[in-house]
Amino acid sequence: MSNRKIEIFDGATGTMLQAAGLKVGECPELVNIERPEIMKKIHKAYVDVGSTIVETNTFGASALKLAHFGLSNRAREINVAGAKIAREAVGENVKVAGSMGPTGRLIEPLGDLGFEEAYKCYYEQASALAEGGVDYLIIETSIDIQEMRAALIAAKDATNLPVICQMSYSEDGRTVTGTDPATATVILDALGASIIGVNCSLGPKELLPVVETIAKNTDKPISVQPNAGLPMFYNGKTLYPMTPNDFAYYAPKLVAAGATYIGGCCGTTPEHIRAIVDSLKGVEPPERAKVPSMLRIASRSQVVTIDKTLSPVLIGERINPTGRKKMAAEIREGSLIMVKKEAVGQTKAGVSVLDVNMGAAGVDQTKMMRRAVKEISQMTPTPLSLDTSDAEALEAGLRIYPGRALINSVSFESERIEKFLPLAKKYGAAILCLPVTNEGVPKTADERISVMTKIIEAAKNAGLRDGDFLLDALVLTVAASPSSASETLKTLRLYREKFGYPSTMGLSNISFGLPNRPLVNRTFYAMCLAAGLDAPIMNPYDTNMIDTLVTSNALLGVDANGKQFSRIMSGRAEPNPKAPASAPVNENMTAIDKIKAAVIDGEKELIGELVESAIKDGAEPNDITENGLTAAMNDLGEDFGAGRIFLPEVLLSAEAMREGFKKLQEVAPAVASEKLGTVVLATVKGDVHDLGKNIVSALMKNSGFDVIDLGKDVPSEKIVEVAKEKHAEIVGLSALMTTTMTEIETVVKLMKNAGVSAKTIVGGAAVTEGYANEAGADYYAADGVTAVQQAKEIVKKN
Amino acid sequence: MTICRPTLSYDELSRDEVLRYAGMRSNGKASFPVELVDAAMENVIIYASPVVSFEKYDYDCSTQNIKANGENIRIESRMAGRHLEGSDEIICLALTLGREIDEMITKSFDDGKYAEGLLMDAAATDAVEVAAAKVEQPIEQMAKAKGYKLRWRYSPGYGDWPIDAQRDMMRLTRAESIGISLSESLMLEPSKSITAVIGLAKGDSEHDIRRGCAGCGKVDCISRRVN
Repeated sequence: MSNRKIEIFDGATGTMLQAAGLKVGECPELVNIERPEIMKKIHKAYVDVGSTIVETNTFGASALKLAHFGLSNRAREINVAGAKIAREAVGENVKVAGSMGPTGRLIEPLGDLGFEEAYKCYYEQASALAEGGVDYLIIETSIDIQEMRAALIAAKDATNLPVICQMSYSEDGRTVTGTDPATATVILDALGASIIGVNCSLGPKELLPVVETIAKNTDKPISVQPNAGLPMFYNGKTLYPMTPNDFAYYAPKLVAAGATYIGGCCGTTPEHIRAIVDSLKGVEPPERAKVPSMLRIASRSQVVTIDKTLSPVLIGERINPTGRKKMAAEIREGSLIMVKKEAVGQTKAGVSVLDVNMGAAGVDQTKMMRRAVKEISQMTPTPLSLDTSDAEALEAGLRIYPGRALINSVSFESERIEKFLPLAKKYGAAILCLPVTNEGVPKTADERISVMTKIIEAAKNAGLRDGDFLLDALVLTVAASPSSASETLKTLRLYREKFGYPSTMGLSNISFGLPNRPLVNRTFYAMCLAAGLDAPIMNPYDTNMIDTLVTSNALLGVDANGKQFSRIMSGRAEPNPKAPASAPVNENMTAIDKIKAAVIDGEKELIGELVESAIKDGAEPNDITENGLTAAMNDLGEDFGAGRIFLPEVLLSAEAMREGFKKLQEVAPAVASEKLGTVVLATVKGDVHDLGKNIVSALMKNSGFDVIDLGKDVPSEKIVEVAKEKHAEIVGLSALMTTTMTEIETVVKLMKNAGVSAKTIVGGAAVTEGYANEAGADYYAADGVTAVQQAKEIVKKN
Repeated sequence: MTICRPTLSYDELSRDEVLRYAGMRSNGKASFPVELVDAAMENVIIYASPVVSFEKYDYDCSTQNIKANGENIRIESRMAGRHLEGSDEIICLALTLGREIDEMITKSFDDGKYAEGLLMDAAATDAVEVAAAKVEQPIEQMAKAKGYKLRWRYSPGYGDWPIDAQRDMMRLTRAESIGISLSESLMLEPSKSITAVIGLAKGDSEHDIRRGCAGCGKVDCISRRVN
């Protein structure tokens, strides 16, 4: 497809159909069958003003969209007719593009439409349009890259026609499902779109920067079909403000930005198209700068570029059950919790690509790969590398991944070449190439280069191109073969020299069987970075390795002037200043004061030790309880009441108390088990929000009370019964809402009737002091800390 | 009825908001271990499965009636009525983070990890807001194309709108289809669930119904936004 010839699309169809008598609420595509003459007239009107491509009236003619009119079963007929009447109207000298619009539903997991259902629907539409004789297929106004992918894959499976892919972006520069033009372009270019573009939503002025971005990300022709400005609304009517001349003013600019297929969307008329044609007379499309063929992979919302001119990126290796029994067991049971933890954790630790491997004994890899890809891509924008030796699992993952994945890996083994390469081509994935043959792993760098040459040749024969390759340098254990490190380093250098493609490798094999493996690994890592390693596959939680990377980047000049290095290192020299509310634990304190300070600071790791050593040094357990643990809680209560500290801090202190009491129970069981009194706690019947009650429970337990926590939604009879049976001194009740709060009265009355003498403390979001009084409760606590203070008061009085 | 599952990633949650929901005021923030907040946000990303169901209905401002399948369902709230004034369509939506996150919060308390439980609850609250805002985007897009403006999301329990309205909202949103149920006492389960209406109006609102904390009467709330 030429990049240098301007093609002119048509403009809007809908308004012209309405002008010709189509009523609101009627199916516009049914016109193709019931009143084809109207449609022919519209096509002709556009050709008359200079359109060189017209679009069929089939935008909403997918079976899923036609379902709104109960016409799903006529999809094929309507599409064939749409294509035929366009052809009849315009003849052979004007091209016909078969229009395919959105289904109106979002694909799983964003929505409830299955990917395969969407695929089938577009397959049917594309086949019918091809049958009717269109020259192109145009998938347009897409706001979901996954729907676009389904449609494009279907269009390519169903026909050999060139496919134009046009997304629709909001004013913030992304589709509503989060994809920006650069990301969409990277995905669609790799997936085999013939022409990439944008239409609808915005006017030509707003789409100009979008076209510029697309041009920076693909060498393919670019199409643009703006609305006639941003819509305005007047007397219940939608108006597009741009006159033909206003609109056409931008046409030369859009061409200068790289577009060669230009038309109009909502609000544009034959007059707008005529004005475009006029404004482009004598305009020559510029020679477009070639996009550097770097390796780019993408998630739904983010592109990651791996290239020798850029800083190395990390590929996180932790989503892999190999050698991890617990993760393997979880995956076998169908749970992805650990997998998801690794996805979030590694992203946070700075990896740019997440490797996903579901290969464990007894796992249905296809099913779990599909699920992992679906669920991980819902929770992180980090692009994925699909790591499997199973072609079926690979295809399952690639098919539903709403991005451009990396395949890990393609070797020169026959099965990989025969099965993986076509999958990479079909789904627009990049490949990690491993220089391994059916005979095994070549030992020398020269042999590896020769195998790699063959893999790349085979891949290019399968349709892959520069920018699709990441080369693995291979690491063998140095203990087994003394030259293995130097061969790997040589391989890295040769990769860069011979191919210019970025390189990768897993590092830790090198040190197998050696002492001090971490030292060996990071020394080797630094060497590899110097030799040109671009994308190490590693454990991103290994801070020594990360430090080696940061330092190497500074030394090698990748991190210009060592700015990042300096920032990270100086950040470490001055840790965040901690401003505790009270004096932190220090050596000059008495053992008891240390315990108190540790509770106040929420130092739960420290407190066990402090209690133990205090007892060892002869402290009285009672002294520890009263002047250490309990005193701390009193201070905290005061600080909390005065607004010096806040709930999260109080709870941290309560955790420290808990550890302190636990330790005391261990070393002095008799003393520690003495309790201040018994508290029965419950969230009242009908109420299921128990966070507040849980906080009170935590604080009471760690202030020396024996707490019987009955949970949430507790019937009043049960509360009274337990309070009676356990001779509780206190009954604490919580209610969140006005609808459940009335239960408090019920409990109070029942208690009186049953002769339970316990005092009541009540609280919860809806409860007020006034209501507490009205309900006959003894105390109203606005917060957990207050509740504890009241409880102490109650037992003191007893 | 549209059902969708918004993406939700770690970097979309806000430490500041999580701390605010947990009751932390700005003067206490500096000394609080940030790792705990981060871990709570991570857990929410891992265990929450945000899912939304919504439907558009015709709405009559003068009677405050939502017109659903030939039935008139009235919004019994003066403030909501004022807020929705000018709307001739209304989106009813339900959103939940699912059951698992509730279970994890309870488990944290049971295990004596109180701060973790509190912070996870707070992070889940933030996640509800983030997820709801995300779903509003396509709704706004769709509305804008027809010349509508959105009236911000309004829920039963706001202002003078009684939570009895949850019964109607359950039906209007078919909330059961995304796993939400309503207790006899009108509480949504799982606990991190909401229902809300969004008015679609041709013009701006003439009433200044204040959004968020400023519009809420519970002035002693520990999460209340200061300023």
